[in-house]
Amino acid sequence: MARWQEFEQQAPEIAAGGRALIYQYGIGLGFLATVRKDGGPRIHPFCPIIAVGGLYGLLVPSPKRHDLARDPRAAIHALSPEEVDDEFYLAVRARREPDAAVREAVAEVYRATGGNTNDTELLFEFDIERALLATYKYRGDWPPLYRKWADKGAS
Amino acid sequence: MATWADLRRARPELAAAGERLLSPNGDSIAFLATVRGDGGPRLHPVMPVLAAGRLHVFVVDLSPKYADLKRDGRFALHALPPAHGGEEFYVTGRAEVVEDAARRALVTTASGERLGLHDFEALFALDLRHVLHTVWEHWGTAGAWPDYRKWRER
Repeated sequence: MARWQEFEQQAPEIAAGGRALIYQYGIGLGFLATVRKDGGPRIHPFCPIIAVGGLYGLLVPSPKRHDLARDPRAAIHALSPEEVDDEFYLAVRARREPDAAVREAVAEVYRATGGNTNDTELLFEFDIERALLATYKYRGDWPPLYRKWADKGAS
Repeated sequence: MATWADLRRARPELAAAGERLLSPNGDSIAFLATVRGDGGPRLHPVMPVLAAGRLHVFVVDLSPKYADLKRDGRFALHALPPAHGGEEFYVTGRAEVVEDAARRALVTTASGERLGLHDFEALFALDLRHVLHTVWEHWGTAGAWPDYRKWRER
């Protein structure tokens, strides 16, 4: 498992493409899939935040936050651009980050992009197991150019 | 599991919100979560198609999500956020392979002849367990608050 900065060092092109897709609307936007208590999948939009070398989310009390507390396995996907269906996908593990200084540094980056924070949120860092960047020349192009990265420890 | 037609009968306003937010005509993206072989979640874009009273997706038969749905049909599907923001539409349920040629032809027609033209596109019907339409009050402010409109099949 790798922090964002390690992933970025090992796969700079994929990380740059992924960062651009996450922040294409100014504020970071994506979908987060988690594992429900019954083992089925759950999916909801959230705001990924790249800050202080990591990939983070500030999560309000919610089913997805309960999921991550029970089972840290998650998947993240950036929103697709309007013009072309480029994809950025991460298989991750969530880890609660309780350090107040880290939380404030992440929140500051989030607020600078237009995000609002509140005291009910908990900070989670997402450690990366696998990444996939798919880029298309135009809408309808097939197959896309796939670029993949996996942490050496990932099975 | 319930079909989309069941949802229309039970909660027409929720079905209408879903049709508006998903635009299930084979030309709009939504996000599909599936269960990996190791039990973790997988997440990828799809293009839903509403036809013959059921929601459908075509999935490439060499893709990991195809193997996921064949092994464990449980899925979660979320519409893209609308441009104006402030709304979400989400369903969970179970996917079922559709091999009937006549049904497949109906879905391809409903997609504007965009999808299902190749043998490698496997067709799944997405039947519903739980539907959630979220409308955010005071969207875009620190005081945003969700109004949840839910339905669950019995």
